[in-house]
Amino acid sequence: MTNLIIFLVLMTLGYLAGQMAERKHYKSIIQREKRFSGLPIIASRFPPTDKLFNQCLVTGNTVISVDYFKRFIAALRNLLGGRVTSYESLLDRARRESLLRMQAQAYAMGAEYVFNVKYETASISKGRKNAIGSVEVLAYGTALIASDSGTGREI
Amino acid sequence: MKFEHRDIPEGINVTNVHPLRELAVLLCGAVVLIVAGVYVLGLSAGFMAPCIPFEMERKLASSFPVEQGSDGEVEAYLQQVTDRVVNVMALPDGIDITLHYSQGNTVNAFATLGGNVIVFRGLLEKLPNENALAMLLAHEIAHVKHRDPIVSLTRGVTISSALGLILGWRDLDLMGEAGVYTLLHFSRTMEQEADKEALQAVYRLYGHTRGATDLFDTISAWHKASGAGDGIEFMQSHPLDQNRIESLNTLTTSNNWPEVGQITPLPRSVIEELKGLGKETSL
Amino acid sequence: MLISNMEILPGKEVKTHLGLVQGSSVRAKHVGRDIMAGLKNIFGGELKGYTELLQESREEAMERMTQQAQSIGANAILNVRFSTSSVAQGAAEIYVYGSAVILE
Repeated sequence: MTNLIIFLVLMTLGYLAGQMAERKHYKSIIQREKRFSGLPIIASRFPPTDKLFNQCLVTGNTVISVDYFKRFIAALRNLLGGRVTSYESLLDRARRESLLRMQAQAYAMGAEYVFNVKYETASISKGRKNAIGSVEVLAYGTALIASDSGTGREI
Repeated sequence: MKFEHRDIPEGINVTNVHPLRELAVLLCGAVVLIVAGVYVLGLSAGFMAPCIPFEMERKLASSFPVEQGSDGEVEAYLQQVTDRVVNVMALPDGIDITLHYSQGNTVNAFATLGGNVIVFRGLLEKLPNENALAMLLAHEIAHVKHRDPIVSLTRGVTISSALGLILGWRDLDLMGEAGVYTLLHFSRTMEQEADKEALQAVYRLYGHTRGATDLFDTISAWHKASGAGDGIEFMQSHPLDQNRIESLNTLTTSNNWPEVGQITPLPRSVIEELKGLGKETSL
Repeated sequence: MLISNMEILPGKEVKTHLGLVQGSSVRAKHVGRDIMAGLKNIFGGELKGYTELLQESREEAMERMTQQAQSIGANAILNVRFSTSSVAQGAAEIYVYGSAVILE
């Protein structure tokens, strides 16, 4: 009985807090994506040849965790099969957040482009019963900084 | 090199479904899946159970405590009726019946693991004649003959351990308590089969089936008097007493078994001993 | 929609770069398949259930990426890369991303 109460409390807490955090996070992601919209992110390896660039590796990483409610849903989903919707938004947020952090770094250097962008995903803290709670996403690329522009930009 | 920023619409990489709705759907699905799985598991375990040798069943039963009655008139009489019933029931080799008589006031009798049949004084003193007693004993012995106790035990243990595994109950006490021993639940089909077998035995024993349904009349009357009443049949494993009487009557007519004949009364000494004990305990 | 993991297409020129597009999908197989896969682990060989799972996921991820590219008016995705990660036991995430471009 106590276990059930603890479970229900955790579920409600997870649901309310998780939903709130997600909404807030998405809002901030969309806002920052607008701000960095002028900084092209390109997966190609060949930089433009029309001018000279300095290169610099930029990275952005995020470790994001799933709430109790979503974890429970994912566990049930594992039983029945199908799309694990609760992890989808988790990973979407992690990816976009990492990219934004990388962009922020490049932006601070005064970069014009970020080329050869790649992602790396790792599930860390394989803790209790292999049911992971958190995922690390790393985004990295090469920032191209026009060699005549001296100092970085203000963010 | 030309670059253009265009906004990618939101929600392509996430499925737009309300989390609570998802939870409800998943919970229903999981419950259905678990219930169906466990039920099938239990049924198949019950199906395999009759393959367990009777010898093993008896060993299993010997680990449970069985109340030992004193040697009296009633036990001797019960044993004698049991022997006669066993004789006409053609039990398979290796299966034998151990009769126990309990002084308790409970209006009940049951068959359990290892061929143990327990009759309570409470029920015995309500029986009007020997034919009803023979019907009662034959019914319980039929359970043993059909291996019902071991089937329902296997079923129960399988279901509870499967549920325990799935739901992660650690403090599962499977066989430790005598509760399992006395609270074996027989399905309605088992009861009906046992009724049929018992009626056949009574016919073979007395040459007629008169008095057999007296057993259910007695139980039915007691149910009404004690207020337990006619419950919803669905909820009880014993088919309603009235339904049982009817189906037994149908069986009698379809087999052309005579319904009239001589009723054998209970011996006077037995009745006296029952009454005497009844007074003692009520004081 | 042209999807390629090359960066240069012979005879075609990239007119406009539109940035990164991505698609992801997380899927799980039902418990029966998981059990079968566990049994199969004893004998080895192909785990058909999981092959299917990952293939379905990959198709969905590609579809989502294509959808993103279409919505911003691209006609090709170049430099496409796949990445797979196991998010939870029995559930796999497939992620695919590339550069959305308008080809001449």
